[in-house]
Amino acid sequence: MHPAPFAYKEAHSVEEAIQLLRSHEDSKILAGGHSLIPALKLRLTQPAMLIDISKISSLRGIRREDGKLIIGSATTHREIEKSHLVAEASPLLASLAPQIGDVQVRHRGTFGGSLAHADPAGDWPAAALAVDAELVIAGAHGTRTVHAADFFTGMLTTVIHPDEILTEIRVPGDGTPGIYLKHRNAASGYATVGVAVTASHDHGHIGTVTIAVTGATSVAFRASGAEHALNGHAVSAHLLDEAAAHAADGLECLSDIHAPAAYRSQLVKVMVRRALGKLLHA
Amino acid sequence: MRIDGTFSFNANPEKVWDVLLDPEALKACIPGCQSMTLTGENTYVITLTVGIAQFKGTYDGNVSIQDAQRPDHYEIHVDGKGRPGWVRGVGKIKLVDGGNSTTTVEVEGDATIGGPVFSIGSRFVPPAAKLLMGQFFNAMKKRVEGSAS
Repeated sequence: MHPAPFAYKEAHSVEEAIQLLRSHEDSKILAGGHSLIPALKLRLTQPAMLIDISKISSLRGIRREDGKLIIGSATTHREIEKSHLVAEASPLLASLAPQIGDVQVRHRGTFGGSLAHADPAGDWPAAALAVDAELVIAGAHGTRTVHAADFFTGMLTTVIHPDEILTEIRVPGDGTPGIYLKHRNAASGYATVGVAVTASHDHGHIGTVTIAVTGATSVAFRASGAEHALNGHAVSAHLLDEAAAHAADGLECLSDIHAPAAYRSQLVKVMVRRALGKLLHA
Repeated sequence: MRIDGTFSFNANPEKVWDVLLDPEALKACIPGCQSMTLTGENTYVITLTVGIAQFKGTYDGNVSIQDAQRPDHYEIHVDGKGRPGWVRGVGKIKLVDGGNSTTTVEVEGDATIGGPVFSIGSRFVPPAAKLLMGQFFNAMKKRVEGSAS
């Protein structure tokens, strides 16, 4: 299918992009286009103008600053996957990136695009929650920083205003062990359920565990009940079983032809258990 | 696709009923309602613009209220289509008297959807429907309880 007609502008700076957003009603940011273009083609969305930010060099790249990993929002999944810095500083992100879509998707799709789109089955929202990422959002009056826990407001919605742009994402760069496991939809590669876990542990004792789940519900979430059951305890298979068994308590899971709600709920428990087991060797 | 929900009102069932089935209240409380015209007894033609984030679509449809037994229960039949797809469904609505001027409204909905929305967006539809239903009943609750005082 062909999209409805739209105007197209390439922005060369964040300021220019914000200016364009503000001066054109019904305009929409285009980064990698891997969520937006299919929706345009199905005419599920028909913005009057697309503002392409993929050529803004300040939005791309990965660097370490004050112990934090700073990733530009228009950095592609592939750039994260291939980054030695990410592999060393954030094992969770390094574990997740190669699991997104396929290699063609990863070459075009962007880190910030995935977060801003907030697809309930997107992979990055789980990682952002698990590492408590800070998301930097630029608007006409400067920038603001929002923690991942406050960023996602619901299915496909975030705190980003229509005239703002997500510019960079800051995550801890201390190399805390982390892993992302997902049950892929066989056709799309989207997460039927995806689980991001980080854990600091020392001589069989758990320090702090974070567990975030995507795909199961309309918006990714932290399984804080399971986290509390683990924090500060000695690692044992039994402990992990117990924590995982309660990971889906009270969830209102999504349901579609690929996976009914009860199946997703069960998957949450199974995937949390597997991720914990892999990370904590129990 | 099942859409269920339970909503509580601080008013007796008769009062809740009268507002829930008042065309003016419906028009004001249905999310994204552009127009709503009475075409026969308990039958309306309605135009809605609804969606989530940028995925919005306009739907035209027929809505009819059937099997209405004041103040206990009624059925709402919906048949609509728009560019994003089509929807057909029935909602059974039950008003349960909780005593002390309170009413619990129980909704049991069953809908079928099709078209582009269904082919890529089927997983989005039930939570979106639930969200819109919540918005509708919250708006109704304000109307019922506002006019009760």
